[in-house]
Order: sequence, then C-alpha cells, then structure tokens
Amino acid sequence: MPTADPAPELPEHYFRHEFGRLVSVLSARFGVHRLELCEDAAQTALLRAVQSWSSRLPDEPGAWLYRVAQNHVLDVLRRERRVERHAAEVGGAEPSEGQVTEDAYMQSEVQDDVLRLLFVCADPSIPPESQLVLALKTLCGFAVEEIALRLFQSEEAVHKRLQRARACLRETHVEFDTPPLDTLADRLPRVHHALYLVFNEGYSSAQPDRLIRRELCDEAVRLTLLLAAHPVGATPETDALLALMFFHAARFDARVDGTGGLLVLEEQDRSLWDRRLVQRGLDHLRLSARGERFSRYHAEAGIAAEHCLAPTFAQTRWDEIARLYEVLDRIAPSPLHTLNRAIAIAEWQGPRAGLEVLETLAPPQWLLGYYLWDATLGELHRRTGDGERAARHLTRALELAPTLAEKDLLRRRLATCPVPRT
Amino acid sequence: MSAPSTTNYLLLYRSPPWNPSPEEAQAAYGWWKAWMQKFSKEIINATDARGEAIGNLNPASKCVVYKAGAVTDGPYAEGKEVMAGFSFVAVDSLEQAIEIAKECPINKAPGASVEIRPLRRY
Repeated sequence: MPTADPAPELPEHYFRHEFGRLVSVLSARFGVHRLELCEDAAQTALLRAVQSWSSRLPDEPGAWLYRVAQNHVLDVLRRERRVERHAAEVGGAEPSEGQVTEDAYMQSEVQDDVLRLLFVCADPSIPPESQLVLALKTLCGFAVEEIALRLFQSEEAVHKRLQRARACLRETHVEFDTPPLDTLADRLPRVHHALYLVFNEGYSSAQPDRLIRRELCDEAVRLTLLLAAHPVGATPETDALLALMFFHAARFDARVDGTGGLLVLEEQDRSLWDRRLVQRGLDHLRLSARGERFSRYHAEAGIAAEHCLAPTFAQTRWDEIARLYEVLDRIAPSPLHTLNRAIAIAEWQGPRAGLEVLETLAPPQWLLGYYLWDATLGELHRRTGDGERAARHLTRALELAPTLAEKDLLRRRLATCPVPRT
Repeated sequence: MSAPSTTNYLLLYRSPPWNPSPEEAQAAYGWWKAWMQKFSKEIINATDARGEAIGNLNPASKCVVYKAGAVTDGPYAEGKEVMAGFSFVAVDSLEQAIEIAKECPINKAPGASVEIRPLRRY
C-alpha cells in the first residue's frame, strides 16, 4: 500500500483554470489568429490527463499539459504544411519543434500571457457581447453549454459570438504577431468594463444556482487581482473595481433567505456579511484613493462601502450615498443612477423628496419596461400612503419582474399596501 | 502477500466520442482516480519508461488493419463507438473481473461498454 497518494485531489476548478493558462501561453507562442487551434490543443491535453493521471500524477502537471497541448498544435501545423507544400516558414518566426521547455511554463510568464489574452479579448473590433463570451471561453475555461446557461443565451448564439470574436482577431492580427502587453495598455478601460460585466453576471444574475453565480463573481475577482498585480493594470481604477467587487461579494450570502427568496438590504442579516471581504474591499478602496482620478468605479465602491460599514440599515449614511450617486450620474450618466439616487434621497429625506427626483426624469422606453422603475415608484407611493397608486405600480412591476424570487418580493410589498376605502 | 493469480483479464473500453468541458473532465478524473484506488491491488497499470500510464488509446488517430498482406482502414465499431482504452486486471475469476468492470467510470458515458476478455499465460 503506497504511503503517499499517487493521484491526489486536484484544487477546485484546476482543469478549468489550467485551460485558460494553456490557451494564453499557446496563443502567445503560436499567434492569436490561431486561437481556436490553441483551444482545441488545451482540450486535448486535458482529455489525455483524465485517464493518464488517475494512476499517477506527473511531477509537473502544468508542464505535462503544456507539452501535450504544444505537440497537438505542432502536429496540426505540420499536417497543414504537408498539404499546402510550403517550403520552410519564414526563418525565426517558425515555432521551434518538439522541444518541451518546462521553463517556458514558469509561473510569472504564464501570468503575463494570461493578462495579454485578457487584453486581446478587449479588442475594439470585437462587439461587447462577443467579448464577454470569448473571455469566459478562453480565459475562464467554460464550455459553450456552460456559457449558454450562465448568460441565458442559446448554445447557437454563443457559438456565433465566439466565431465572430475569433474572426475579428484573425483580421486584426497578422501571423505570428504577439503584441507586447504594454502596447495594449490603452485598452484598460475596456478590460475593466469586461471584468465588471463578468462580475455582474454573477452578482445580479437571475441564475437560480447560487454556486454558479458565486463562481462567476470569483472568476471576475481572480482576473482583476491578476490585473492589479501587473504594471499594466496597477491603477487606482483597478483598485476601485476590486473594492466594489469585494464589498458586493461580502454581502453575497445574506441576499437570500432559507428558501432561496431574495431579501432587500433592509431585511438582510448583517451578521452574515463576510467581514474579511469587507476588509479587503476597504484595503483596495484606500489604495484607489491615491492620485487625483475619480472614476465610476470609485463612486460605486464608495456607495457599496457605505452599506458595508453601516451597522444597521437605519444607520446608513443616505446623504453620503445620495451625493455619490449624483457624482456617478455626472461621470456615467444613466437613468438607473438617477433612480438609485432617488431611492437614497427617499431614505434620507422621505418618500416625497424621492418622488420629486423621479419626476425630473424623462424615462426612456427601456426604463419603462424595467421592473425596478415601477417597483421603486410603487414603493415610494406606498410610503406616502397613496395605496392606489402604489398598487398600480407594484402590479405592473410584478408583471415585468424576471424571476420568481423577485415576484415574491414584490407580492410581499403589495400585500402591505394600504387598501383604499371604498 | 498472496501469490499472483494465473488468470488475468483484459478490459476493453468502448464509448461514443467524448467532448467534456474542463469542469466535466476534472470530475471524470476524480471518478477514474477513485476507481483505480479502490481496485489498486487488482488493476495492473502498464507504465512506460517515464512512469506514465499506457492504456489510453488515441481515438482521433487512424486505425488500420493488416490482413493477408494488405493494410486496410478499420475496423469500424457499430455506430459512433470508438475504442477508448484498456486495462489489465489480476483476479481469480470472471465474476470478480465483472465486478470491477461494473464500477468502471467509462460506464457513465451513455452507450459505453466494457469488453472483458480472459487471458491465459502459457
């Protein structure tokens, strides 16, 4: 009986994260225009590992996978060359064959390559919805079905978006072109936005599976931490984004009750908020305050911090939150920010003050179809005692609400409306 | 240490082509690991000079048959099955070999099968 476990448990999501690392290193080596081949090669390596490793784990699993994946790419390239009867490729640009460089898989270089792929995914020519899909596939190692489930899209739609993204990359990248990371630095805002979107998919999603949502949030945090650790991404905005993510993540467990129903901030058990994550949020918030720049992530992180620091709902500094929403609305104008500002002002100065803010807003069509618009109006009218108006808005919100959890929440509100005397 | 049995068995795995996500592949690794550890005394792992397991067949590779002086393509299993791999087990009876085969993770793939062939040493 062996004393040491020859095939130990792998860390959670190891294969999925390793997929991302493999695709990053391979595409850095063989070119971004060969992205799909790199993905296939990574997949091949993982498949080989399934049975091969179950009797004995190799000493360097990462290097083992890289060797298999690299050989797959070289096999395909060799076959293509035979078919096309090419003479030897342009000297120097040809990837050297066969030799496995375990050193090539050194940790720090892999991190660089992962970040490079993140920036490559943020290519301006790739439409935003395709960007998200590409990042989830290549960097996070999710399969098409898994992405479809998480983004509420059909598998066909996800396939199309992937193909579109890869085609854009083929157009913008010449063969063997591996752009140095610092030349891509001007894409940092797009990278931030993509990471923000991934986090939001996990946090705000109507996805019923809590573990899936948590996993998406974790992926966003993982990649953003990688970004913050590298000169190209170590900016105050990245720290503000991290602060925002940590503050939201801290409250993750308290947002649902025992039966999976949604709880509003007022109802949440604050003892369930993860204090360590709040602290990490505060650390990054402090770091983000260096320098003069104040981005939308700074404003949002500040608002999230106010909630996380308030011992009870009643002690929340609503005046501060209202002020931050005003700043956010100026930096990144949106009716949603005005809506949230109205809610904050209502908490601070009463429901009529909140309603006054909403009256100044000319709601666009999409906002009128968004359940939170009617839910907010309904709630504020309920608080002023106007039961009839409240019921009307809450009923419309109930129709528009996307999930059962949100519908239940609204029904509870509706039930507390003062019934008009007839 | 008991004397090794004289009758060994070859398990041949067939399954439809498998294209798992990385997460699914990691789960499968866990099942294979558990199965191999449970029957570590019985499953004989063939390894090469590097200590790596032999026994995975490459489903994407070309399979040929040499017969009566000629090389032909094939053999093609019925439908979409491919030969996935093999293992040797050292047990004393067919019943024992079947018990091990029943728990093999290959069975999780719909349409998979395990062929159990007794071997004889001469």
